[in-house]
Amino acid sequence: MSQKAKKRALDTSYEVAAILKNYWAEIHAAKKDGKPVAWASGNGPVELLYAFGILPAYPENYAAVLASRQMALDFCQMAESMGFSRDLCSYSKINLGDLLWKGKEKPAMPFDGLPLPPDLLVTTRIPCLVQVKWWEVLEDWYHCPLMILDAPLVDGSPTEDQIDYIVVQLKEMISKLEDFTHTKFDEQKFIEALKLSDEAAGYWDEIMDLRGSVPCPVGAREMCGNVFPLVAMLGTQVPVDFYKKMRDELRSKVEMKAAMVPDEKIRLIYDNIPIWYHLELFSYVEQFGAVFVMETYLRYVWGGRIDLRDPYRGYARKILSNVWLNMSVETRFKTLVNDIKKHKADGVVFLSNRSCRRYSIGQYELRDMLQQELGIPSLVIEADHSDPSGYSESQTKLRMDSFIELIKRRK
Amino acid sequence: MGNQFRDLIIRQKEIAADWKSKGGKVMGHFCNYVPDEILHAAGILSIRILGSPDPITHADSHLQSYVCKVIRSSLDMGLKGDLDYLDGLIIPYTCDAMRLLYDLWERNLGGKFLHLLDIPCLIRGDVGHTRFHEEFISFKKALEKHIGKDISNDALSHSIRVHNENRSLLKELYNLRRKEYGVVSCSEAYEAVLSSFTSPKELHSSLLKDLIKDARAKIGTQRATTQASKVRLHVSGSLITDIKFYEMIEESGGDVISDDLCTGTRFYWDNVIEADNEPIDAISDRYFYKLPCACKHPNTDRHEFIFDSVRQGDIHGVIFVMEKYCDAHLYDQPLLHEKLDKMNIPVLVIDSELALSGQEQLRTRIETFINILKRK
Repeated sequence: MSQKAKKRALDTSYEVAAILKNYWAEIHAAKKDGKPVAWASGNGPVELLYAFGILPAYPENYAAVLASRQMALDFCQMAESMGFSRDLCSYSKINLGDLLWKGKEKPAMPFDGLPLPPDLLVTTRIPCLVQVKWWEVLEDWYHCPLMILDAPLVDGSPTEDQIDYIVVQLKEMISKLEDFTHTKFDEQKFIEALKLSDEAAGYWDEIMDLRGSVPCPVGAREMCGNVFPLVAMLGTQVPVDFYKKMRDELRSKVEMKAAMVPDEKIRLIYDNIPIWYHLELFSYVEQFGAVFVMETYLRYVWGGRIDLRDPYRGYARKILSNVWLNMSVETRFKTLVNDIKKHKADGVVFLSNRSCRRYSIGQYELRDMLQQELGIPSLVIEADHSDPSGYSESQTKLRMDSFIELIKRRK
Repeated sequence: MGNQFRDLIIRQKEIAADWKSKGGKVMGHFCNYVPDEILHAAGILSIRILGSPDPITHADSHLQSYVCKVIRSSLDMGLKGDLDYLDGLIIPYTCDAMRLLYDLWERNLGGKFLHLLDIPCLIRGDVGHTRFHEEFISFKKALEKHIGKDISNDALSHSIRVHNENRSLLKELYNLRRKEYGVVSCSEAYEAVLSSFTSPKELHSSLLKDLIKDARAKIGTQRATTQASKVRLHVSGSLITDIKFYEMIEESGGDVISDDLCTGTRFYWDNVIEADNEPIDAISDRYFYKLPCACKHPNTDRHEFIFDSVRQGDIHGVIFVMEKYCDAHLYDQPLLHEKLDKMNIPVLVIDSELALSGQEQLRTRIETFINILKRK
């Protein structure tokens, strides 16, 4: 794990650190100025918050930051010692452990920690019910307004009824935000935010598609670091500029046939949240001529195009249909089949993630379906995305070794 | 008396077979957000599937071990053929795992009537109300299509009365036990509730009436007086299927007089209020506004129900029975615990995977907890 990070494949990737730093600095500055700061769940309607001038902080993303810096364990254990079950989502355990921290000295927190207290809580069932339950805990502790965007899970394309259900909730949320901010909703600002969101998502999709080129120009480890502006800043200019630049750079890399791994032999797809405390796993395979060319987490959790001809319904459609976790098992399968072909993948690595049931249930079916219908082999590895306790790095690598051997023999 | 309810549980499949032999259909479901009234009005015997504590033999290749036992064992029962007697199945969108179970069921056990009751998470406010109602209408339509005939308003009204009666009797039993300690033991009373999930309600209600009548006759007798000295408990959690838990409490000198279980008060507390509206609207409202599950938002009414129960002053302690991997309840529990601490109510937390593991160790923990409460 301590192996020093290799030079990045893309120059643009070096810019993400500054974006991240600015994002947190702006939030802390806003908080200091007395402006309202929201704590938002991933996949929440963040464009709406930006339209109201409310900056969203992401406890979930912050938990991933802590996990990637090998800081998660203490926070998870703190939450467990305060009565939260070990089996709960480790993102939430990290956040609740941070908030409940007592006793021993707290480690220095990156970016000065989350802005406290939240003024507004915004969550959604899009990724999971856990978000709603976690935000209920926060509501209980901070007694500030809680807004929830409920959603049905979608099989195929969302139905008109399902879209209606999102639209009516968005409109209700708008009127609640008017009350909260004491300002009139500026629809033009919202539409502008949607445009920016769509534009950034468009570049992101192109980036993901360009990674499907042979050879693959950039792998998963680097891209996990690059996804942050898409997670947190949709609806602003920053991700548009960042991803446009990255798209342009990737285009030229693809033209030059630049390869993430010299002599690329094996192309892999990854399913589930990255193991944040062991991102090295993604680059570990490169020594065998293997590269991760597509990840369901990077491609189908963040971003999403918006049909701006009918902004509310277009936005609702994106909210409902772009998120892997909100897809039925059958839809996940069809999507995966399409991407395996598109990215010319040789195999799929499923992370069976004990604290993300919504992502993980159905993986055994997907594995079997891929084998039966495409003859594509899969590997299921076991880990938690952010809680490193019980994780065996050597075991995981051994399993990865034999999976790669298997694919090599088949080719 | 209690034996009659135990008998209903033991003879569950026989009763279902009997129902079918008379031309009726039998359908299963997983949750008390599924409207039994609509099934009943369609001539269908409703069976709430509560999973099984048996080891998993078939489902492990479909579902990870970190999914709750209710879902794993129910899929296992399906795959093993234990649920073949059902003519259909209704799966509600309560928690994420339950929603995804629908997909696994459809893929592995499809063919029969299978309905996703896609209810919202929001159970207060107009937005959730409309969607909830629409889902109930679609369910009724799907059922009508399946049975090939309309479900009339008269049939629904009749079913409302049948179910209201059953729920009222269960609530009467709850109130009686709470007022007259010991006239019915907690294990007997709990078996009465559990057996309602799989029995024809008319039969079940007639047995409940007898139980209540006999219990009333015991008021003021020797038995009631000895029972009154027991330590009285509230039990909190999702579902309890193992009656041994109640027996263990009784044997340790305790008595459960209140709960907020999905297999308890949350099942029978609220009735359908049929006024001038359509019966289907009245049914939908009952389920929308009922004492909520932790999967629904807001579920503060459940929290308040627990606190109100404790505030009545006759409860010595609270036992949380936490079903492993049940996220919704696991997030609520520390909040409830903290508030009960502030109310000076002693709390015991035990883990369950349908069966209570480590029975002797658990017995010791329950005995110790009850002994501490006795000394207070």
